[in-house]
Amino acid sequence: MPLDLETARAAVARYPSPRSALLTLLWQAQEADGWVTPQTVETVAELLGLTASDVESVLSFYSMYRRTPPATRRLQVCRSLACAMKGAEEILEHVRAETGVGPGETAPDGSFSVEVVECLAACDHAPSCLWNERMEGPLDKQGALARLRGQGGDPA
Amino acid sequence: MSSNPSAGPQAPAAPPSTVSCTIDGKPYTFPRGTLIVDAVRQVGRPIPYYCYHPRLEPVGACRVCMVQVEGPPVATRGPIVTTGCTTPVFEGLKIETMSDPAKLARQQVLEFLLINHPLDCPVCDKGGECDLQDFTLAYGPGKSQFAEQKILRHKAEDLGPFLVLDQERCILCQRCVRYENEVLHEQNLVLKERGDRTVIDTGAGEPYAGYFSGNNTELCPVGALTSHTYRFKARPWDVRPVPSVCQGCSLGCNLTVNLRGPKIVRLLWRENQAVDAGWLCDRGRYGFGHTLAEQRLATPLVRRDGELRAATWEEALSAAAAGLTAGPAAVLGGGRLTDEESLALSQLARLGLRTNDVDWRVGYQGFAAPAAIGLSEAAITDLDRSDLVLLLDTSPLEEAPVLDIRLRRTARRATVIDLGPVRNLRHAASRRVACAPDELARRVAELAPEFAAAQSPLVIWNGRGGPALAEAVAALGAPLLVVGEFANARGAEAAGLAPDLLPGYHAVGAGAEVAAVWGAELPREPGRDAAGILNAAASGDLQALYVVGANPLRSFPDGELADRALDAVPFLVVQDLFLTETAQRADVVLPALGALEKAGHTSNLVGQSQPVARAVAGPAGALADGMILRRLAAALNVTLADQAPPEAETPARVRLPEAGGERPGGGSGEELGLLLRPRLFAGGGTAAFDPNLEPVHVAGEVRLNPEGTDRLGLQEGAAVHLHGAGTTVRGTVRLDAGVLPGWVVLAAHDFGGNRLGPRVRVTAVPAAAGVAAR
Ligand code: SF4
Ligand code: SF4
Ligand code: FES
Ligand code: FES
Repeated sequence: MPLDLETARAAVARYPSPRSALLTLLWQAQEADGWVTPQTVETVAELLGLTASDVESVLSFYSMYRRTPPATRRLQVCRSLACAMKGAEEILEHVRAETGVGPGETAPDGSFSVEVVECLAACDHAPSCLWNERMEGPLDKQGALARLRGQGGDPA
Repeated sequence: MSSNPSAGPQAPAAPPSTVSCTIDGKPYTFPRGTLIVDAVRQVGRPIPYYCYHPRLEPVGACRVCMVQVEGPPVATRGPIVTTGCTTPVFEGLKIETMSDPAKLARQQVLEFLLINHPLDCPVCDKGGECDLQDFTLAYGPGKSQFAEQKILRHKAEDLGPFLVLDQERCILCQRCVRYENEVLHEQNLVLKERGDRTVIDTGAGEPYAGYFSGNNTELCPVGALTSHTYRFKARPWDVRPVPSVCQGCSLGCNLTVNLRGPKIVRLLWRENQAVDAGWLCDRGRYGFGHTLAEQRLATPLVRRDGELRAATWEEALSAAAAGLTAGPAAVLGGGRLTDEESLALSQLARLGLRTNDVDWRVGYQGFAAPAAIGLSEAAITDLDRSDLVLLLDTSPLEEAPVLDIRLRRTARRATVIDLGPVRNLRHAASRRVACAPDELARRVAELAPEFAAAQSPLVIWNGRGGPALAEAVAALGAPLLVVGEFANARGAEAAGLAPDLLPGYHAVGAGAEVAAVWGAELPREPGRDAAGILNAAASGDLQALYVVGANPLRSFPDGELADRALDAVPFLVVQDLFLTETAQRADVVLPALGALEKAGHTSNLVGQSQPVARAVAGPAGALADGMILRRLAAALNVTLADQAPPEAETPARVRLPEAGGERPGGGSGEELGLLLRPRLFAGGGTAAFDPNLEPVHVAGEVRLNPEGTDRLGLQEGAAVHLHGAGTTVRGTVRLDAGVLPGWVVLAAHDFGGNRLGPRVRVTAVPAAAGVAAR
């Protein structure tokens, strides 16, 4: 079920300017639907008195908002400096070579997706990643592949 | 603040309104608050800038305007470099534009701006007038240290009807984004993604939807946002600039025509703060395609054996002169002429045809100057300080678009009352008062106390609605801005192209001063207005009709009457650029030149007469309306006066036609009241024939409130038939919550909407009948 309007309005009321509730509302909608649907963009824009373009612009800035229905297993690999130097790119290349699924793509059967993200503030665990939105690291090639294939324990 | 050594023990005096500082060693004084970038520009010293633009708020995004500053606020730190576009001048500040630290900072910024740039200047439309080229040459490092792979982005992305976006050339200065946000309040272009992947795009990748996209191409300092129409057409050194004035609507925005050889390649803004505040709308900017349109009339036509056939000017003019003097004749049109041509037509009607049966009002507009109904005139810039604006059943966005930009700014600070059956202010907050047309006068009267209490109120009105509404408006006592239906409605009225007016607002019958200038007696009885003329023609009381730059079959609110009149009148002369519906019925067609093809003056909606230049020649066989009138006058033995008659001391009032019959639908709910309201890219004038405007042309648009449309099975985009007055026309549904329920809105001047009478039934077109002709 999409965004609960009552909860949304309560969130808007917490801020002096409605626009401040934008991130919160988008997050609420994603919690409800699993992703941010085009309908959510319209609804949120209308609730906050913004244009849909403005909402799109903010959405695209944050990698934690999903614009497509989520795959069952989701890997987000950091590609910022520390992780890049510790081999993030190689892991991504390996995954692509083995599964045909590159960064920003989802397996045809919807079982997993791979994304790149900017610094997760876990540089000491580089190369770090998010497994179904949970921080992990250091990541290695074999581990990544196994987990994507659903071996070695499905994430929570 | 506290360390100011000159501050005495007394209460702090108000800070002086100017500050003194030095720029490159020379002393200057500026008003307090002046930005360094403006100060440096004013004294003629060099300073590069991208994100800064005088018509936008400063943002400090590009960092290229670095200057070195040293002085009281930064004294303890010694000289520093800072952005000139976000720092105001201070008392005692020393500004260095060309010191080594300033140069180095700019060099480094420029080097960064180019690391992902494709360096495709040879095939870029901006080449030769690009700030990225120019500043890199003047201030750049000349060499890049970047050896890595560049990030690739979208090139030549089609952003909708007029814009092309090259994301690789974008330097993310955000001028476009801020213009969309601050000036338009529309956000058609936004920033997406982040970091080094940031790009400009429309919200969800949909085509650009607004009316003001072209301004982005002039704001963009690089070749990222360019126009389809100018793509690969010219370099700046190929083009010849000719200053002129847009005649796409009655606002009269100033512009510069750019010609390459004999062809117009583009139109650019030419800032006039008092009129356009520097902007153009897309109709004005791109609506020059008609100058070369294939359907332009290039030779006079005379009807022989029932067919319009090519003729010489001599043949056509002598046929016209003979036909127009064979019996009582009347004149319709004139709202698209220059001021000079309107005067000539006025004189030709009075002296050549000996009639006051002349009217420019072939549409819904009843008058053009506030003085014509005894009201005072507002200035366009009054919008910048008024506290209460009544938008009276008028859409600046559709009728004078650039005025809407100013109104949006007004609406941020003042109360705007958007009164009428259709919501008209769409991009700013307003107090919407929805009411049916027959309630307008009463609703206006109710606003009297609020208007009496306002400091500087103002009314914007397009003059539709008849004498009762005009009286209600007059009772508000506020100055008036009249948005014209035709580009030079104001000039036509001032020239006396009305049955009861002579040039200079002398009343018919009291025109001694006019007669003196024209050197002849004038007909003394007031004539018939447009409806009267058409009725007379329909009932056989007129022998001939001379229609100048008008297409009453589309524009006259009672299209059925116009149809009967043109059928019945024995002789019809039409002067126009194209073979319009009206011209197709003519006995003689006189091909005229367009607005960019002749010189003269045009009066904008506040009566300011602005010079227009002859930028292009136009079709060889066509003549300027003024020349046609001169030759026709000669054939009628009238010598046209060069001099304009003097203005009347007290302008005569014009008699307003009764309001057209807009009535609510029938009680059953099956019948809807019909409204004809202007749409920028619909119907009349050159827009209908302009290939550049083809992608945005509005035809057959049926606007309905979503309420109750389900029951009728009418979704967005559905094909429908409208039935009324024994006629059926075809259209496409646009659901619009801004339309009063119970009414349907068609575009004025569009397809047969004026043939349907006041009430229509809307029915879905059965799928199988989807291809039936309309
Ligand atoms: S498209 Fe042009 S105006 Fe817009 S941000 Fe890029 S460079 Fe600036
Ligand atoms: S607002 Fe009117 S005068 Fe100005 S550019 Fe647009 S069409 Fe031309
Ligand atoms: S660089 Fe990857 S977590 Fe910081
Ligand atoms: S012009 Fe000053 S930072 Fe861009």
